[in-house]
Amino acid sequence: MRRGLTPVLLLLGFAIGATELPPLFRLPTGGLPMTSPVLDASLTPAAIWFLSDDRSLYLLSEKAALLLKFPLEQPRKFLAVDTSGRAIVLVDVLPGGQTRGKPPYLMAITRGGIIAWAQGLGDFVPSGETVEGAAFGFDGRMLLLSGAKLRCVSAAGKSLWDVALPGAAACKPCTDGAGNFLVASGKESGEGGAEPILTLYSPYGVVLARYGSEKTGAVQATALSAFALAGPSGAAGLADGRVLLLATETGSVRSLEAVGATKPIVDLEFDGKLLVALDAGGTLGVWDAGGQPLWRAETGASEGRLTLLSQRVIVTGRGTALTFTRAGDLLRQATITNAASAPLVSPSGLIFSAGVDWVLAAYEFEPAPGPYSLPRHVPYPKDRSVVAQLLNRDGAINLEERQVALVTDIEKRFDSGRIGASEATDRAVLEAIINGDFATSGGQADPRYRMFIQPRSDACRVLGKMGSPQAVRALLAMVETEPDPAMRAAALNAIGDIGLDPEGVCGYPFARMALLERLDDEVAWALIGAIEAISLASGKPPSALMTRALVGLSGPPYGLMVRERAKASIAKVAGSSGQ
Amino acid sequence: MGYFDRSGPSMMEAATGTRLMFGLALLSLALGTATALPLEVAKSELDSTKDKQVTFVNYEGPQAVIESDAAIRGIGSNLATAIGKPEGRPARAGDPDRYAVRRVIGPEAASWLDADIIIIGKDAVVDHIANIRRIVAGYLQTAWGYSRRDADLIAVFVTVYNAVYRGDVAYFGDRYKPEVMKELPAGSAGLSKNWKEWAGQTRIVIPLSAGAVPGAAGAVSTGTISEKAVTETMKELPGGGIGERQALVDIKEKEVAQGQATAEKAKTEAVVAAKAAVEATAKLATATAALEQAKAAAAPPPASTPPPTPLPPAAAAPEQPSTTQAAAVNTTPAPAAVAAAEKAVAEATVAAASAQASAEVKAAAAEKAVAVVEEKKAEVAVDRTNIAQDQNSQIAKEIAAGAVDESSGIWLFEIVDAGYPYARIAFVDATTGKTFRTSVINTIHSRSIVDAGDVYVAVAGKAEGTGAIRLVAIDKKTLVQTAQGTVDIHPESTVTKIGEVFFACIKAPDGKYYLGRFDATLAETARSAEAVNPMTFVVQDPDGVVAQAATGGFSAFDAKSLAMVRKLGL
Repeated sequence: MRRGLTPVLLLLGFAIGATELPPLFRLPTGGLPMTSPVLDASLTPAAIWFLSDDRSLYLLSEKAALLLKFPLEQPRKFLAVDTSGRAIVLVDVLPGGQTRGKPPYLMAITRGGIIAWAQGLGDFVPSGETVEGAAFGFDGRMLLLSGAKLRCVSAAGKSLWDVALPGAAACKPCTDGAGNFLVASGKESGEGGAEPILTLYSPYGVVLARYGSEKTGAVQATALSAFALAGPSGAAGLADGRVLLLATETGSVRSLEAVGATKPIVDLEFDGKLLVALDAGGTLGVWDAGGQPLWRAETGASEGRLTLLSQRVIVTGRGTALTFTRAGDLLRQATITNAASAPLVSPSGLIFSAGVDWVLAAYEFEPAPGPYSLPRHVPYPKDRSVVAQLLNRDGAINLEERQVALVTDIEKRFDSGRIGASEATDRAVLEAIINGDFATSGGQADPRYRMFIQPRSDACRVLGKMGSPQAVRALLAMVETEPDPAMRAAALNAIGDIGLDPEGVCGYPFARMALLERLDDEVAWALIGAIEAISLASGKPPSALMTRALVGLSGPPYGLMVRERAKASIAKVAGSSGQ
Repeated sequence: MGYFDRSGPSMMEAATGTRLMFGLALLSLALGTATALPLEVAKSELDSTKDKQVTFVNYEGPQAVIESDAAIRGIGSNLATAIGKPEGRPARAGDPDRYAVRRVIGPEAASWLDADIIIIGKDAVVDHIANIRRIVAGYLQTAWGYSRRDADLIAVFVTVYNAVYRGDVAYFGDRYKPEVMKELPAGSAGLSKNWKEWAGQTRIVIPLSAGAVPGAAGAVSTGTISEKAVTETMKELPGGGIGERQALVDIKEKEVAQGQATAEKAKTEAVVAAKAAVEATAKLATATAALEQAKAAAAPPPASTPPPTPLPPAAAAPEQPSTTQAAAVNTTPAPAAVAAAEKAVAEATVAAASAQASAEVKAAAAEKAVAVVEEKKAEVAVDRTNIAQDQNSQIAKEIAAGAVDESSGIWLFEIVDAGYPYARIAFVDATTGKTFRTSVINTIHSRSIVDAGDVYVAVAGKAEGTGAIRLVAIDKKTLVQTAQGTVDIHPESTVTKIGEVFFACIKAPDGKYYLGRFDATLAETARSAEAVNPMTFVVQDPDGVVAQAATGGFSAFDAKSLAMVRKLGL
């Protein structure tokens, strides 16, 4: 059943007029917004990252606290928030004049103002240009778009793979329910024109599906949104106002009719239950997950933006905001003065609007919007088939030299930024080396396993370098079972290099080790380093268990150096959480 | 002097007392025509507390002649045309008794400024600050290629700057070259706040940046005209001068961008020059080595070889030419080679020295260009910070002024319909009667309202046309509707809250009414199978709830499922 706006307005026998919202709080930002504000909902209360013309990155909490003002040297127009809640920015100069490859530099900044990592993208972003869009995978990896190039970087900013698109990208990429990346680009059709292509890439850069004009119609995609709470599926908004529903598992494409008067789709949200599209004329269209139209409304929101919440559909445009129930009832319409762009809606229903008067203002708009409809993160599947293959076919796999050579080869490919499609298998190989899976008998009980310090230590180091949080469990298992202090320290160092513990698996083991064992100084030192790295790199306060671990290490029976290091660490992480 | 359209260029009006209705005060700019009408002067509101506060006092009264904006700007523009393109040397133009300009360019000096000085002569008839600004803006547009918008903005700052430092020869002497000071008598340096002191006593100083060129951003030293004293003064004006200061920051950013391009070019040139110097030095080394080789080749043989015994000339001559003769054959070309090599070395030396000097000059220029950019960037950063701080202060003042004490507020239900108890909710100050806010929804059935803590739940709506009667929840704090039920409710139904759930009478499609159970989101969670009286009260009992049946009598229902548990006789 489709309903227009008018019947909704008369439902309760009164007219809803737009009201001007008084600001709840205001923050002068020293300049116009360089980019739209972005939301970090990784912690409660949520916070808003904002990049201003005054070359500062601001972090403002929903509770009206300015959490951070971070000066940047020559920032470019790019701002995103990764899965750990860190701001990702692009700058021409690093603080302190440091270098990390060729500029411009991609930087991750935590809520506490710590630079988690910085990597040069000079070989990827042309001079004077910027990263045009980013999508995030489930392990924190980022897919970056610049022109007709894609680059996937790990959660630690290390390059994983590059892809040259068949043509210039049409809009920002997005992530589907399985953590795959959906990209819209053009492709020369050989007749002097360009054909639109939607491509689905695996997290490792493998093309999983392509949807050409035979499925999409010869119209360029203008907006992409692709995730689902149950099963991978995607949606693409097109320049002619149509919306495509993609079932990425089966490859089917269904075209839904134009939202309004064939104007390009400017924003699209899909949570697996409701598909919502907004076109350039401010027409809002809503379908169910099967593509059945439910309702539409004329919002008048220019340069519009959609926010799909569990209880609400909120449309914001420059100077305007409307909130609907998911059934299509208009609850409120408001105007916002001085708006420079479409405002951002936070989970608590506040609107954050950057103003042309150089003031970022927050307004109370929706008291009960419900939480964001976020995709459930599913770990990327491990590919352990390579372990069996190596055991079956490589007669030397149980030799130390062979394992060292394997690790070296993996590290070389990773360092060159070409690990690409083999990342999953390579990580499986490294974890197998750590676990002693290549000992042809006895596994970890095999005495040869104990002797192979070099390959296991190297494997730990490379896993840390690769930076995938999915390797934390394997490294943690080694920490917990390995008797050799040097090996334990190597695994802890690798966990520290990864710097992320999104599943929260490290807290208990770390606390148990610190409080119930008498750790070797080398292990204790590495444990402190791992806890500190996780706290500082993630920007989140350390868990109670990790804090207890540090406290345990700051006292007897540990030696003076360990104790002092632990105390210093406590002070450092206590001041860096920025919440 | 006058101008008929005030809405044009004047971005910053003079302070209180000078903003008049457009239709009342027509000011005229009499070019060569002295006004014969008596002039009435508006009461001036000169500041009395702060030395640096600038409140311009203008003539406000009838005018004999009204000049257009274009004509007034034309005064400045004509001066710029007359003085010609800047060529790095002093210049003069105009009539010193009316309007003139002096371009004062002195020898290069690190921290002193050049200036353009606009002279308001004794016969000039300008009596409003807006027109002074138009003249300055017209001049800046033509002389230095500023856009109209930028020129208008800079003119505002220039006039405030000149008013702040009016007569302050010590200040001007500290900032400007001696050549400029020669054109600034103490009595006329700067701009008075009072229009009566303009004619014949005004020399408006426009500070110029080093190396200013027309068309390029930064001809006028924007840092100078926005010094702290000037911006502090502008804070006293309506809006705190924030808009103007923000606009000037935009101009400075253009200067930074241009400066960066210049610096990049200078750095490239420096690199090229350095490379040329290295090459020239290498060539010198090569030439020097060649000279050494030539000298070595030209050196005489060692002295240990005895001279040959001369033989009888007839026998010896054909077979053994004398070494002297041989020596003569060997040494003749050597000095020429050495001379050529020496010449080459000399030329290479000169070239290397020249290249080295050029490289040093280019490097210094690049370094200076970078320093200029860094300085301007730092200046912009300070400006932005100051603007943000001032905005913070403004916001704090607004909040303090507008702070509302709602501690005496009560919620009232205002009947808005004479024929039916439709109501809206109003949050009112019980002490003063002032209404803080009201609900937008105004069809609440007032007899049904239930206080549910943070919200009011009630029946609302009209069953007219496409309307419907449903349950609604209104947030108490904002009086905004937060939830709405999806089933029709009887208009006379009560709403009963038991625990966290609500009970009301549902109007079913079969025309009967059933007891409904609703959760906090007003979604129906259960419905009785037995019809009830739509106007029944709902009462809690040990088993659940009791309501009056449609057929009479009372029924007890399970509180969760609304299954009838038993009948109650009455």
